[in-house]
Amino acid sequence: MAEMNVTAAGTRNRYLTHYVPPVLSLLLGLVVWEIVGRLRFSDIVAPLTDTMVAWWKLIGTGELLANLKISLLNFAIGFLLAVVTGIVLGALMGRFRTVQQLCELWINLGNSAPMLAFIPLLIILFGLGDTTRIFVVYTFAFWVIVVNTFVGTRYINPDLMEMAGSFGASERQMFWKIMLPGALPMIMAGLQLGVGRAVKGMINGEMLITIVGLGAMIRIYGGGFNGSHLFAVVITIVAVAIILSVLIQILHRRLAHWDR
Amino acid sequence: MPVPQKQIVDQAFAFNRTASLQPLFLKSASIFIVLIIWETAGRISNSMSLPTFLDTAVAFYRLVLSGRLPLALLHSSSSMIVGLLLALVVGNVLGLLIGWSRLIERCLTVYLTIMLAIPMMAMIPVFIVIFGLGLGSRIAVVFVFAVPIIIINVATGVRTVDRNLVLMADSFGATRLQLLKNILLPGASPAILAAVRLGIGRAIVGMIAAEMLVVAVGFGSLLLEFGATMKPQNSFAVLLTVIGVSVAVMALAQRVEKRLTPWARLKLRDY
Repeated sequence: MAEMNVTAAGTRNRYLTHYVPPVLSLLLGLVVWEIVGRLRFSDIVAPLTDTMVAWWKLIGTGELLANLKISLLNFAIGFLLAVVTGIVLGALMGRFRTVQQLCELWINLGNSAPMLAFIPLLIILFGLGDTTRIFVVYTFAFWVIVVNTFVGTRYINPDLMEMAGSFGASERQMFWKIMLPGALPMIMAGLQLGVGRAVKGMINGEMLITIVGLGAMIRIYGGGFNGSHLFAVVITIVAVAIILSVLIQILHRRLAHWDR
Repeated sequence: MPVPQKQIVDQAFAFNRTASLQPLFLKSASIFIVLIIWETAGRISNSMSLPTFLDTAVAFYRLVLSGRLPLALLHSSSSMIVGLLLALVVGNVLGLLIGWSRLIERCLTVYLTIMLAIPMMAMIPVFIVIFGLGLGSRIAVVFVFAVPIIIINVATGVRTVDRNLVLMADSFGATRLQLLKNILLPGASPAILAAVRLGIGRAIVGMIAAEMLVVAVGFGSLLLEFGATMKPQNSFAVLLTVIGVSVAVMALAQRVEKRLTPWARLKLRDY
């Protein structure tokens, strides 16, 4: 009985130390935001309450959801293309040394080059349409997925490969049964990083190429220094990015239940 | 029959030589392939939009000779360097604090998550209002682009310092401050260097974003000018210079990192 009380107190203490500080600090941040906003330095520093009102209004008029739909459609196409081609190229690089040596330079270059600088170049090449925006999402997400898949498939436990080989596994079996599951944690980590970058690529494309979707709202409200509406859109984007990242985590758990 | 020593050495050497030459060959082959594809694509399309590789190289040479490209580099990098230095100071202090105290970590993680998820491009109007249309805004943009990744990597570096060292310091009665100075800071030095490198990458992105959206100076003004006058070979030359400079700086930082902390094998957090 006494023991149970001790553990109960222990869990309560852990709750106190784990969840109270972040919640308090977030609340403090929100209060500071509200106060700074209420000081009315300028319209752009809008208080929290005004932002919430603006968000509710944007939902009510349907403006936010309609633009979100436009944005997410392009995002989905670009990101899925990046996932498929990134995993295929990464796995080829991990499996075949020749492919690795041919591509490594360019992959490293793409991974460390600022993708934002490519946007004017993509506009020159592909014009001012949907294609260019999808391509921007693609280029933001692609490199990190390739690198992670490559590292994951290259550094597979060699004992497993050897065992599969000595039990007479075919090349295809080796790939599907050993390499892909073994690389799955790294691949999923790549998707996690890629999805965050793809959201940024989506917004950058909509702000710099064709002014549509959520990026258009940022351009309009930011350009008009309408802080409450701008922050409402930004909060929506942050929420979308976090939700997508959580979805990838759930997918990771589903696919790789052994990897915690 | 024993194999003569010399033969073994020769064989080993020959093996080593082919092993080290082949990747080099494939690497240069891949560069050539890409350049040839670019050149032919430029010639076939024969449009105004895609310049050939040779045209771009000539444009690059002219821009360097006329001094416009070096001048742009100077203008652009001024805001980058100030913003990056600020981000390094703030990022290292906050990162060390987060790694040093669980309470601070729990309080600040929420804000780090939000900072990483926010599209900083969208916040540029806020900086324009606060800092004006000038150097101040550009420095602020570079700062907010670079600082989150520095904080996270330094904090992760402190967290991954060998627990045994921390326990030992504790049992020998080290104070919290001594622990930070003598154990955590040296232990986190590889992560700090890695954070510098990733921070540089982010700072360059911030610099470009500021030049595209705040005020066109340096590379940004060259891009706008050449874009408006329809000189794609010049635009290409400028863009490739930006990309080349950033890749070169990152590679240099990686060299320095490997030279200073050759033992480090750590997991980077690159968002």
